Order: sequence, then C-alpha cells, then structure tokens
Amino acid sequence: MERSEPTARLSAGWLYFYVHFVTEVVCFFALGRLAGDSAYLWIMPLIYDALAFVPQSLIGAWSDRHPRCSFGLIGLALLSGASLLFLLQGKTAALIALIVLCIGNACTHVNGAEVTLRSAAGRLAPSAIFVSGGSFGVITGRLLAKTALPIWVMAVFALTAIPFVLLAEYDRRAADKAARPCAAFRYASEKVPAVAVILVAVLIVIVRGYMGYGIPTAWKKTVLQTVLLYVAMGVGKASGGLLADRFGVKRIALFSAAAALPFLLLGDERMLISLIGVMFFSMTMSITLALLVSVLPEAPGLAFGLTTIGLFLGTAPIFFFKFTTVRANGIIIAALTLLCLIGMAIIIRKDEKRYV
Amino acid sequence: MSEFRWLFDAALAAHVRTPLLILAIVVLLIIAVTAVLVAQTLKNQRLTSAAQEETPQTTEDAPC
Repeated sequence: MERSEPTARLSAGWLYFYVHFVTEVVCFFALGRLAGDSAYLWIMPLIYDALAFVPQSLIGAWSDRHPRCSFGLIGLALLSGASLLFLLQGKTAALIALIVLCIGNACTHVNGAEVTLRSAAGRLAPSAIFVSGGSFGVITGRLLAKTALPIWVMAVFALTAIPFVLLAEYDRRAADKAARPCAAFRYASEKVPAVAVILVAVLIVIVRGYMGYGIPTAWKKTVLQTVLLYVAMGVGKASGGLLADRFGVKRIALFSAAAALPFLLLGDERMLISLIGVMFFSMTMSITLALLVSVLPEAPGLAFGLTTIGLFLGTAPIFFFKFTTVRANGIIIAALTLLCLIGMAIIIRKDEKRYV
Repeated sequence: MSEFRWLFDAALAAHVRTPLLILAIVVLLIIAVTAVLVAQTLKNQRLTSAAQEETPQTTEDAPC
C-alpha cells in the first residue's frame, strides 16, 4: 500500500527522532561517566562540544556530494565502538574514545538532517521532530550515567538504531529522485543577499546556544524538574516546526522569540512560567535551519553544519565565564532576544497563506 | 557582589593550555574550510540558476 505524502514526509522525522535519541543517550552516558572524574571535568565537555558540533559542516558537505555514503550507519558503528573503547584504562584511551564518540555523533546528526530535509518537501516538521529527539536523549543519558549500568550496554544500545537508519534511507532515496529535493525551502527574504542571510541566521543560532545555558532556572532543584526542563525543550523544538508549517515561518519565529522573553525573565523561581518560556524559546531551532537551507538548497548537509558551528560558538563562552546575578542575566537575555527578533524580521520572507 | 565571574583561572590554564590551543586551531581551521565551501556552493548555485535562465524553456523560444 502506498503511504500518503504527509505520512512519508513525517516518517523520516520520527525515525530519526529515535536515532537522535539513541545518539545523545550514548554520548551523555559516556560524558556523565567522564565528568565523574575531576581531571576531565572542565576540558572533556569542551572537547566534546568542539569535535561533535564543528566538523558537521565538513561531514555535511561530503554527504551532500556523496549521497550513497550512509553516515547514519557509520555514525552508529563509531558510537558503538567508542562505548567499547571507554572500557580501556588510561587518559589516552579515554581521549581516543571521546574523539571517536564525537565523530560518531556528528555523522548521525548530519545524516538525520540530510534525510529529514530532503524528504520534507519544504516543510519544517520532519527536521524539527528529528532535532527534538536530542533533548530527550540528553537527559536520559545523564540520568543513566548515574546508575550502575555498565558502559558496554551503550555499545549494544547504539546498534538498536540501525533498522531506523535503514528505513529512513528509503525516504531519502525516494526524495533524491527529484532534481532538487530542497528547492521547496524558500523562507529567506529575496531582498537580502544570501551571505547576509547566512551570517544573521548563524548569529541567531549563536545567541540561542548561549541563551540555552544562561536561562535563569533557580527552580531546578530535583531530578524531576530537570527532566521537565528537557521535555519542554524537546516539545518546543518539535512544535516549532509543526506550527511554522501550519501558521507560517515568520509568524512563528517572531511570536516564539518575543513570547519567550517575559516567561524566561519572570520564571527564575517559578517552574511553570519558566517551562513555557523554554518551550517558546526552543521553537526557532528548525526555523534557522530552514532559513539556511533556503539559501543553500543544493547543500542541506553543509547548511546543517553551519547551525552546529553556531551552536558551538554560542556554548563555548560558558566554559570561560558566567553571569552570577539574575539581573545581569536578564539584561543579556533581553538584549540578545531583541537582536534575534530584528535579525529574523529582516531575513525571513513574508509568509504566504498555506497549509491552513 | 560581582555580576561576572571568570571560570578559566590561572591554575586551570596551566593544566589545559596545550590541548586548548590544539582544539582552537582545529576549530578555526574547520570554520575556515567551511567558509570556503559555503562560498563555493553559493557560486555554483548562482552559475546553475544563471545557466537555467539562459536555456530556452520551450521549443518556441529555441533559435532555429
């Protein structure tokens, strides 16, 4: 039986939701175990962020040029291998394992982006669903790292995603029959030069990356509250894409960024208000990706890699300094949100009436 | 109370200076290569769309 078009589009998103979930569980389980050792406490997460996020642009560019090369399978093999390498003793072995883990993480992410963007027919929902899986994986991996679970279990767990990658490849192959599968992404303003769109979109990702760690969450004291924070992030990321497809990219981008601000600023001590803010704040994730694909439709992997470079540049400062008061945090968050709003208003094209 | 605090102090710097330097060089190199790839992709896309605009769309437009 033929699947209906929307079902086929979303299936890649859900398949890679699980692959992304598995990837982050494996990575944050390993990171949790490493962070338990104080010698690695500072440098290992920074190495992880750099080597998992930054090379995705190069892997993405390679993947764009060599569609037959399944980076999803390569990534899962590397994640599984890295989990076994962590069994070896010594700092050098741990460093090698971490580098393999990072490259594995980068490969599965790039393939997820390629599959969900190419098979999306210009919609944001598939890539948004794929991206949201990561939030659930991060918190699950962190929690599991605190248990007595042996790390080899992660080597096996990584392999459970293989059927999902193989199934998603069907969607990619079907989408690649079209001459330009990403040509339907046309969300960037035509009045703004492509280079400017890229620079502003990456700047927005940098700001979002930084804000992700700067959000005041004094209410977060228990494990359940931490879980709820990550669930809000995941739900926000997915719903951003779904709502943008329904109501328009520009409308949702501007609404979510503006609406998030008061909730985030007033939610330092109040969990529910803060969670609403986090959800709104996470909604722009798939929108910046769609903007970059709009100006680089021939290179969705490279476009995705630009967002991950932005994410690294946004998170890197938190390793070096932090604002210690809610007031300073609030001023920074308000200023950065305003900057994002202006940027998005300029580079996103006016919404057409569609899908309503 | 100061509103700003450095997390990267001298003691930490002494331990991680070399790996941090290597990491910074790797990151900067990748970003530079990415910038070249983006420029190349934009140029190729421009050339492709220009070529498509020049190609006659129908047989009526085609020169005999």
